[in-house]
Amino acid sequence: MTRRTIICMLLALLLVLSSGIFSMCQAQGGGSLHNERGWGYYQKGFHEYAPHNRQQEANQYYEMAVAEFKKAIAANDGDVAAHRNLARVYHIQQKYALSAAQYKRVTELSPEDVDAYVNLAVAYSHLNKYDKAIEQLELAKTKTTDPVAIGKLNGYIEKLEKAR
Amino acid sequence: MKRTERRSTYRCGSCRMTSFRPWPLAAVLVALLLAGSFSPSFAGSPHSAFYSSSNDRIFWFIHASDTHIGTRGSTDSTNLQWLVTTAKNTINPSFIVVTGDMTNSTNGNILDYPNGPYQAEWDEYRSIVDSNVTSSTYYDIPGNHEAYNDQDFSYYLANSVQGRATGGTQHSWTRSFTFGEYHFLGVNTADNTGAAFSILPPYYGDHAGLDSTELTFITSELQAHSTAALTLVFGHHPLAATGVSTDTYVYYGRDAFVGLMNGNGASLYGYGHTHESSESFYTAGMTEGVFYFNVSALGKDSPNQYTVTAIDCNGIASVTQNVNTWPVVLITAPMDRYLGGIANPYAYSIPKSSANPIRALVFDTAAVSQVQYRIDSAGSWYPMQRTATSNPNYPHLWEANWNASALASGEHTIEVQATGSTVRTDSVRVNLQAAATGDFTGDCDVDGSDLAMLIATPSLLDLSTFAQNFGKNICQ
Repeated sequence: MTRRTIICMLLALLLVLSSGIFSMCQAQGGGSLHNERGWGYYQKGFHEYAPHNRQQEANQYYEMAVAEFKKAIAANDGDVAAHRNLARVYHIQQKYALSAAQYKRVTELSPEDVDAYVNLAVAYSHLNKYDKAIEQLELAKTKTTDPVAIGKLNGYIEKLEKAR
Repeated sequence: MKRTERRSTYRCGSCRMTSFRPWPLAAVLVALLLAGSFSPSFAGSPHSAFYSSSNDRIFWFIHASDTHIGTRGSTDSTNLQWLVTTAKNTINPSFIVVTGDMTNSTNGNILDYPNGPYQAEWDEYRSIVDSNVTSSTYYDIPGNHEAYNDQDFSYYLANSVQGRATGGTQHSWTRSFTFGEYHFLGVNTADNTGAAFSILPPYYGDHAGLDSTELTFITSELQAHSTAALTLVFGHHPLAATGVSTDTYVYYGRDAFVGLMNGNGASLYGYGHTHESSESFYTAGMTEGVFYFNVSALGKDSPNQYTVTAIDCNGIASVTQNVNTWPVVLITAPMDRYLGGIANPYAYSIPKSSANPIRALVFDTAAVSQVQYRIDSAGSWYPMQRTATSNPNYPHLWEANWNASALASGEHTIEVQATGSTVRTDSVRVNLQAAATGDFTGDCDVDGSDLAMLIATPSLLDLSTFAQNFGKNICQ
């Protein structure tokens, strides 16, 4: 390999790495066009209307966001960002069963996403499904070795055990 | 070493004027005459605290934090209601500052997992504060629970008292009196990325710090109030790691921020976040340091506490107390030599005078029947009197003259005990100076700062002794 080839390969590697970092940064709003559009609707409803108690307008934007996230998922069921965003909007709408289903899909597509298990457990707790919530938190404990995170998960489990 | 640096600055200033020769009595008298009704003023310096019999150079405020409205199973709303009604009406503070986490961002979920913000929590917050405080008496600044999932702090801006009043996340305010202007600054240390809370290290979704825009505001406000007698700063996060791994702190912008506090003579940094109360002295990156006061959460975990901080003749005094407990007793003069947990550089020594003033604020919802003091935890208790007769603006201030002339030089403890709803005591330690030299500021030099104190309180020392020592370094 010539020096020029090596430099070209290094540059290509750098480009791939930087685009990867960029896509991670854009995880919430990035991805498909539908996901991005849905994220924009969510932002408008959640940040522009809801804080001013304009719930009706906020709800309209949430519905538009849901429609876009669904389209993104229909086009690609592996679009984890769209599932995560849809779960979030359902949670805000207090549609906890639908939210739980989407967070469950996130844990399947991204099994190392410890926070997704916790969000799923929160959704189950709203549905009074404490055993299922604990089950998810126990699963989350297997996905991290961090003692602080495990301590927090144990704390959550303790709270759920008291509640059930 | 730090002390030497400060002293040498003073010495060079005096050197040109006096060549370290004692000033003749006549010169001091002329200086006194020229001073006339001169009030001691040391712009923007925590060293400006002075010991005086003046009982009308005092004000106080409340520092609370982490009200966490929306926390399941807590007394969050009750405690905030108490703060802005009973505590405010009884203590009558100049203002209340709340250093972040006004809402819990959980909407009461069982796990206490902050996945908000939730407008319902803010509605509850507003229902408590809006009818009881105004934007000129209540300063609520953002914390990490205002930052999760909200990069632009839209819920904070639309609902907090200061967000609505100013449209900003950082706030600067003053209190002006005949004896000077005091500057207060609330900074937004919360994460600016809008990240969600995470249970994972290192930041747990809270990459706290101060970005260039925030630092620009801080710089500009500090410069705009460079003549303030004292500058006190508040933020949500600690400046450094606390030793508890989940306690996030100011990760970026800290050095610049500390440099700004240092360069502008800030006296105090007050914060919340940890749900613990502590009183220490922050020195990293500073010439001397700032009082570093952490107050426990008002609405979550326990104990639920708040702090009353007083400024008396530019000396800072502070007491942290559980909600709904009375009386609050706070010795405001003399200043505690160990405020901040160390022999702090801003406290003054006090003279072996026969009439050393002791002052204390006492607040209670019930009548206060007695306030008294004693020295060194032994011997008799001596009565203190309300200043209300001579100084009706301060109905909560009590005072006495302590005869310290026969005591040994060195450290002594002053206790003040108040009898109201219950009996409660506050105490300070002071350094009684070895000889009446005129070095009231305790910086070894008998100089203009000491002269200003003598003008304010002539009983501190007879004029001839002071004149003999003027211009001298009494530690050499």
